[in-house]
Amino acid sequence: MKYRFLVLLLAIWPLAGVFADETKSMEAEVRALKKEVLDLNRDLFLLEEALLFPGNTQFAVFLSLDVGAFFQLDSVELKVDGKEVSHHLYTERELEALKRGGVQRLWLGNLKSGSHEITAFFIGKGPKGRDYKRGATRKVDKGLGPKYVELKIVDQENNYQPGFSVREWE
Amino acid sequence: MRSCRWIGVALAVALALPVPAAETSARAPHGLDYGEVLYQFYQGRYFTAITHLRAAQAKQVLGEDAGQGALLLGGLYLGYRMHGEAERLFQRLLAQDPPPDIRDRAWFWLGKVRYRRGLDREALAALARVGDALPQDEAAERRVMEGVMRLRQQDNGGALAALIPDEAGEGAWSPYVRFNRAVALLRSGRGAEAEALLDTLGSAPVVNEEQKALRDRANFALGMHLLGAGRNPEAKAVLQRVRLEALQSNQALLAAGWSDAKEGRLDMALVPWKRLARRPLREPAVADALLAVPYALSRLGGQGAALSQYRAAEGALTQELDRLRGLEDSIAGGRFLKSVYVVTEEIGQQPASEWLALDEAGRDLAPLLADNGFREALQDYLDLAFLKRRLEQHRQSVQTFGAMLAARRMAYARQHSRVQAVEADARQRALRDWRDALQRRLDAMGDDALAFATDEEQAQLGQLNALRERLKRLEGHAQYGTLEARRRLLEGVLIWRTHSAYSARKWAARKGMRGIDRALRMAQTRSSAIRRIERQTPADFDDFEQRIDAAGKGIARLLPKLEAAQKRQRAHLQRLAAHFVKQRRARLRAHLVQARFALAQIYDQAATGGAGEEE
Repeated sequence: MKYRFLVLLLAIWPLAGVFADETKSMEAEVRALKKEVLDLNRDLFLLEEALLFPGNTQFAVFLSLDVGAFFQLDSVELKVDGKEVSHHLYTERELEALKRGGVQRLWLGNLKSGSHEITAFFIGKGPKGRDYKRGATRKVDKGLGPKYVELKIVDQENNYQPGFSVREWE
Repeated sequence: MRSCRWIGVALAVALALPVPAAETSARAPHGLDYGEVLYQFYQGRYFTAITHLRAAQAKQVLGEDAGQGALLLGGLYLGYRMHGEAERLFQRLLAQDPPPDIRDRAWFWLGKVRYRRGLDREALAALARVGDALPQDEAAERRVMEGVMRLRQQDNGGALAALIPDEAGEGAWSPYVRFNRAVALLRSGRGAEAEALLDTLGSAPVVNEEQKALRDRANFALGMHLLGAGRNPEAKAVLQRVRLEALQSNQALLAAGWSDAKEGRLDMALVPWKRLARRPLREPAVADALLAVPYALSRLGGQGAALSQYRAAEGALTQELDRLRGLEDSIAGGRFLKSVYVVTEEIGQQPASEWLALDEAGRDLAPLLADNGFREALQDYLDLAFLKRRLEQHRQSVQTFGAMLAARRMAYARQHSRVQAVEADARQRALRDWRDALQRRLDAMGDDALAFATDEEQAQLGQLNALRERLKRLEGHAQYGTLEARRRLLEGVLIWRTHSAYSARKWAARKGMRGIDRALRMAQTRSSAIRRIERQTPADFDDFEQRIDAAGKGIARLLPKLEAAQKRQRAHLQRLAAHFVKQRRARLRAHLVQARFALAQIYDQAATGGAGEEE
């Protein structure tokens, strides 16, 4: 009796080997299809960007985060030339992605060449868990090519406060 | 012989490898484009990450992140089970003679691709090319992979050489290095060392679910090893450390019962076996317990209770067999896939168990999800469904793009005439002529301070000149001298003032000219840009039209292929699931036969006058 239990306990479920040939052929077909769809998806993404946000008017605002020891980001409000273009509330997953070095494209739009005012309000919890809201404004000259602006939240070790900086990229 | 089998069970579950994401190196500043890809990647949005990464590669904007980007893409392909693509990508990367950190990681990933494909010899060859520039975690993962492959090749010495715990400190892979080292030690006959390692792992403080699962696995493996070695009380103590909700809980309860049974304490064995027998009949261990309980009762002399338990087991097994017949119908009808739902919005590369879940009706199929082949096939099925949904969305987008382009063409036609009118406008030329005239005038003024006099000063000078003419007529008059002197004084003051202001005025005039030149240049640049756009736009429209057309055709071609592949994949999954249920039914039937045989034996004993039966 004991041995029978042992044999049953040891029974291995040989599913993988039973349909090996069928599995292999299905896998090959699915891989090829995935490759084709991924290629098409990339082409569509590039087409969409070129069509909706042409290079001469393209303007993007990015947000990046330092370690975030002095500031727990809840939301960001972005204004371009006084008009609100983005208001983003952050999930845990998004914050974690930012803390690990990810850069969020907060807004992508079209702007004419010339001078524009970018204003961002950072809302969250500051040092000691207090409610915290800070704004940063920058006048940006947009030329004939695309323009990118990076909003960066950094930890300032000298005064244990969060710092907010704006960097322009061409 | 028996102990070997027990160890066999332990080893069958022992080769432990978590499935990590295609992680990039530690936090470092990146360019915006690669940073944005990482933002998607770190959120588990792998499809979007692949799309954005490949778009950034096509635009050639990754700059210094290009090498890291290629590694990440290869890892994402691997997560998507696109092994061929991943292999080609890493090969291409290595052919470019990358810097040591990228090179070592590329060899590591190439080894990993081959490892996943089951090409152990090729994988080991790739891993052997890895230098010492690998990050600590990946170096530990490399050791685990090599160790597991050596174990698969029965090369226990090689496995032990690979599975050396990291002296630099504890990382995510450290417990897996130690666990697999324990397996290698067991296989090498170094039981005492293996026991010490497993015991450390099995009693280590744990924080998260992954650590708890590994601790359960270590305790189960150690318990089975001790049981196989006949050290039953020790085995029981270790098996009791396996959590009741652990994956190995059913087998651990069964084995814990056996540890008592082997010591002749069948009454004690009944405690875990009865607990196990009350559990849903989804695993063979539960069916074993259904028979083990009456077996123990019978051996303890409780024939009546044993009879009752065998009858109960017979009933439960029969009922389960009937229920499985219903499940077979459900599988044949394709309904079982509805019991599996995807937890995440996007397809990920985490272990499928974290991304897939079963509803109540699908719990019977839970062991299927633990099977690598089924899980991959299911993941492919879900990938196909996801990609099909994406393409359907894109089909609508492409129609919108087409409409947008048509609207733009019309707008362009309207703007075109305006642009031509602006170009034909003589105003720009008139402005340039005016500027040239101003420049000539400024040149002619040279160093003449009076030429730079203001309009007011010019008027005053004119007045003073007119006054001089009028005074000439009063020459000889008594007041003439006084008046002429005053006029000269005023003229002198005026000339002095214009000379004093001359330098500043000349500078201002030149500055003004430079301003005019700047404005004219800007107008000219804009005008050139407009002309360039004007010339380029029709070609751009044609290019867009071709791309939209190609995308539309691609979608139209791929959608039916996806649908057909999804259908075939569903049928394939049905066959796998049906086979699984068939096997389960066969096992249950074997248990049923045993239960009926035992019942017959008890009846037989009763009929032949066996004493001491109870009802």
